[in-house]
Amino acid sequence: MIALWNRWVAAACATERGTSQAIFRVFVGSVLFADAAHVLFVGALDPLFRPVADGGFAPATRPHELFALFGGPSVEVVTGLVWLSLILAGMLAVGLAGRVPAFALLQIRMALLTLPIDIHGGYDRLLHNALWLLVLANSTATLSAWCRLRTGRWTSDRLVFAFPRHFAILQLVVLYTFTGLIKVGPGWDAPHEAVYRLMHVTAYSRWDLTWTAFLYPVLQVATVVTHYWEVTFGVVGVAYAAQQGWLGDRLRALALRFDLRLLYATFGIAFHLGLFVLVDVGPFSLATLGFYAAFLSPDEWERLAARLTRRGRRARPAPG
Amino acid sequence: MPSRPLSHHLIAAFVVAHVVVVVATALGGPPNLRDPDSPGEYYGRYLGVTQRWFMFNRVTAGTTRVEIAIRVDGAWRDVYVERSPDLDWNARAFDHYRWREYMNNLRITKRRAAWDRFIPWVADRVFGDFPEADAVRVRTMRGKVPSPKVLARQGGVRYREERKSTVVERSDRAPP
Repeated sequence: MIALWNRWVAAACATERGTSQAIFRVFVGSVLFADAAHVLFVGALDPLFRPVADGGFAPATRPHELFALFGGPSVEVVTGLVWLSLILAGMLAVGLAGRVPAFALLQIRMALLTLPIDIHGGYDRLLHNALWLLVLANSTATLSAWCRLRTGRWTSDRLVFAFPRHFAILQLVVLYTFTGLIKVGPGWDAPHEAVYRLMHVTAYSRWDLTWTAFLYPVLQVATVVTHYWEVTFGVVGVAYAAQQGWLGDRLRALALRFDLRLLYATFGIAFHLGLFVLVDVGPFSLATLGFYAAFLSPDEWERLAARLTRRGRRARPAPG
Repeated sequence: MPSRPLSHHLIAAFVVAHVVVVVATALGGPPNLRDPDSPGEYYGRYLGVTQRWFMFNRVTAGTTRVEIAIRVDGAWRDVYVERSPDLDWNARAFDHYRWREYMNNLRITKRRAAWDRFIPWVADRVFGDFPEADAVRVRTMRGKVPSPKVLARQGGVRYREERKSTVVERSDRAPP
């Protein structure tokens, strides 16, 4: 038993370079920055976040303890907190002040969402989970302004705990598996019209997509594939665990030989980019894409960057 | 095997606890995790680790849109129709995903409070932007996503069935 626990401790405390977690941070920080800028630009705070007592729509029945510091909730405090979120998200994206921006952003976002009811979505839960993982992760070890200040370089080989990256994979597995399992209602069964319908439902439509009617058979296939891709996403979680060597050497070799990440991640990235372009589900698609950064190990990210750099050099003619 | 520092054992224990909370809350959670005073609930409430993924579990063909119209010289004129590129009064804000969620509440009969708060707010703004209007009408219209052939033929979803409608007269909102 002690030997088993010691093996678990060794696995849980494994270290790696911080590249993957830094890319995850940059992605999440950028999404949150764009989100805060967007909400301020379009003026979506008032009256949605203004308390009912103050003429707004937000019941604010159980405001977060944070509001006590500012004399209670008001639209002025909310606006100030969103401006602060914008600054913190910028700090998170460029990698300043370590874990502090992630923790402060998480608390501010959770506080803001205690004011209104029924205007939250899966994107909020996903972003909050992402922020907590960034509190756990030493994500500014590399590719950050903090790294630049500390070492004089933008990158560093400093080792960080790998478990926050594994948590990000777990999060994707849980998200897709459970969201897939509950899809048993209309639209998902024959004639498999969920994707087709979603593109025309007022609540989610981004554009007039009447022209897509001729793609109906393709959208039926997309409905079925999406559903099965979500329900079976746990297989990638098992394959990922095998690749890490947590399930023994034999399974590790098998998982490395047939790398399911490529299949599932390629579909996932295409699916979320398509979702982002065609329908409006808030920052959900972009937030989810950030989690995909965790699928690649730091070595894989660095190999990918080296390959892209080489290709870029080949494409540019030599000077002189 | 070399002995590890206490912090590593604590990290390993934390990793177990995190995985248990994430999976258990995604499953709906055992009763002790749903208890408002349980550590699992605190972990979710204060650190954002909540896992309720009910997204698009039912996608029916029914769809509803919100329409706002003004009455000028006895005739109604639409100024906002949800997702219309032309009838787009305040659409920049209404297209934001938080507003979309709020508009979604307007469609749900049970959520009367959302409607009751929206009507006077929107009426005051419309009267401010359209001095010629003597009344504002807010209504939700229901439609159905038809078969692809019908959709292509009619050029989009048709919204014909009125679900909810409220008319506000300018005299009702004017200051005394």
